[in-house]
Amino acid sequence: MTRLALLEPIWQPYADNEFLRDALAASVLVSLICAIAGTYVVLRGLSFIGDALAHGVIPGIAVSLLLGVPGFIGAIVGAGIMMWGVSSITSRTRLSSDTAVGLLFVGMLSLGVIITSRSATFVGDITRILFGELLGVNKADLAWQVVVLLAVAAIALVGHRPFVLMSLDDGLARTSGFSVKWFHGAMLVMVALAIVGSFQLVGTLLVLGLLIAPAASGALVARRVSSMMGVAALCGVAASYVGLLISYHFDVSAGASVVFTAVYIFIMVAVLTIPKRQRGHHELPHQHEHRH
Amino acid sequence: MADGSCNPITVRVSRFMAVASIVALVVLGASCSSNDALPANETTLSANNNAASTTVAPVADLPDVVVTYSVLAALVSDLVKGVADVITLIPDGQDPHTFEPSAKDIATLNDAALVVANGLGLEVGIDGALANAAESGTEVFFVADHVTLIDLVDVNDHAHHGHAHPGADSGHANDHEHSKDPHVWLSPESMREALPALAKAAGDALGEDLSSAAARLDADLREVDAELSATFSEFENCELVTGHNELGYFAQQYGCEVIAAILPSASTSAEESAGAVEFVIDVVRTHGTDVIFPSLGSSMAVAKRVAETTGARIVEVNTHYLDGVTTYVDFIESLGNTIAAGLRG
Repeated sequence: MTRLALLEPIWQPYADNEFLRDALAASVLVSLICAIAGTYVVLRGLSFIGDALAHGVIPGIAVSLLLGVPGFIGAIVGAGIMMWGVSSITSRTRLSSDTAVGLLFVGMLSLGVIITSRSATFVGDITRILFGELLGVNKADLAWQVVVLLAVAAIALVGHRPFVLMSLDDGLARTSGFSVKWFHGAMLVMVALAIVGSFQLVGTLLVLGLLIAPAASGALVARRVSSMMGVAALCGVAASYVGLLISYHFDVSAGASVVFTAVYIFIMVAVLTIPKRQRGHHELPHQHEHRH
Repeated sequence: MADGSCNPITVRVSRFMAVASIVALVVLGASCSSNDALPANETTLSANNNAASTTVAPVADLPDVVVTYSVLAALVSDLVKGVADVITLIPDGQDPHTFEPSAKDIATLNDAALVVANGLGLEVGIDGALANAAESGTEVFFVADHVTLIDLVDVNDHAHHGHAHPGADSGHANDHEHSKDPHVWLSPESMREALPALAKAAGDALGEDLSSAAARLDADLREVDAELSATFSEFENCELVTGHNELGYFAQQYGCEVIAAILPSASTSAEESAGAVEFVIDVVRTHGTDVIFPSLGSSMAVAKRVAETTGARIVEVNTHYLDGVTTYVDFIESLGNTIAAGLRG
């Protein structure tokens, strides 16, 4: 048996199946989008807000499916309400932001479940919204993903400097002449865009997994933001490739396999990097409350 | 912006809450109004049935028979017409595999003269509530207990490719094993088999003699079965590719075989796997199948993808809900005719 034949299970499924190549392409595009948006999310400590956004779009999606309009329209509305709610509560109350975000998050998620629980069709099924239909992607979906990728990349390009400063300290960004309010908003829009643009293919749960896990791996091993994004993209692509292979060979759910692989990669990276860096020494910069 | 000032905080938060609640109400209203637009379900079937809204007393004070899903409720309605109101728990069109009951549903269950359920884990979200209702004295009738069950075969079993003949199993499933196929309503013969026990249980619970209604229903079922048997006898080779693994009883009754399912599970609360999709594509190609029968509950996007790849047509079938018809006989006749028309091409 040649070496190539031994490696067959690793490439043959992709060579044989166009649907699997398209699923991989979709998953890779989502990974790239999430590598860009996710790195800022992790650096600025917005994971929980990302989570809230991903679930906040569910009621919007459910309503638009019930009304028979494309899901992304409802998702945009849902994300808008969620972003507005998150920024209102975090900036205008004395509650710590995680409390406010957590409340909004469970509120929107439960509203989504309530709506789908009485919907008259299977279309509003919460399982489809959470897990998506990765194996059902078509070329039009992929084109749409490319557009979202370009939009997210454009926001990141324009906002890169303030985003990096804000991930260190809001005051630093402010003294450099950037409006923290506007760029924080831009960052949330970027995250929302990543979620809204990807959920139809891969579900809100998978978007979230790919938003945070690869970026967290990147933040563990790299120091420069651009290298963090590079590592995050690599981890996301690897998770897509390996996850789909797992789904193929072991006959298990596609989207969930990809997310699980991404989280598994993160755990491996964390285990390998902790002893070197001495626990707690290189903490990620956190979002501190610096309101004057 | 609001730095340092206190009053705007409360104002803005309460404004936020107000807007949020308005949004929530609008959203709920939208979902309710789309429920109203439902095609005839059981609550609209029986003229005197107001029981769905518990605040209004039923016009005719008939006892309530609660049936878990709409197709079975249509059958029960024919049986108890005039002597009981039939309430459908799972709204027609909703997936019974993933349904979760509301508090009112539980109350409805507990107040019923009789509860008719499928069993075998079909209504997995209600299983606990059904057990509690039975424990507190409500009569619960599981149709699957009175049907010759077939094993839940792995239709996508690579090793037995092409030899997946569901073996008939005699005996009754009083332990609700999940290794048996729960989709018993998809064969009129299985419904006929359960009918005597159902008529007896309903008759006992309602204090009525339902034997003549049962005899009429039995004749109707026999007739539609004969009609479908004649229809399907024209196919030498009736091979079905389905959404989830749901047409086992139907296939057995009409000499068909389920050769692959996009979601090779008896339930729909799962996501498709890459392995299963490749298998389905493979089977469709090697068997020269030119039609796929997905139903709502499995991913339509994935079904379309398979159809695109293989050149097969998609014929959507209603296996889990009534879709506008009002009787079980019409339901199964329409399902059979849709499948037959799909096979003819």
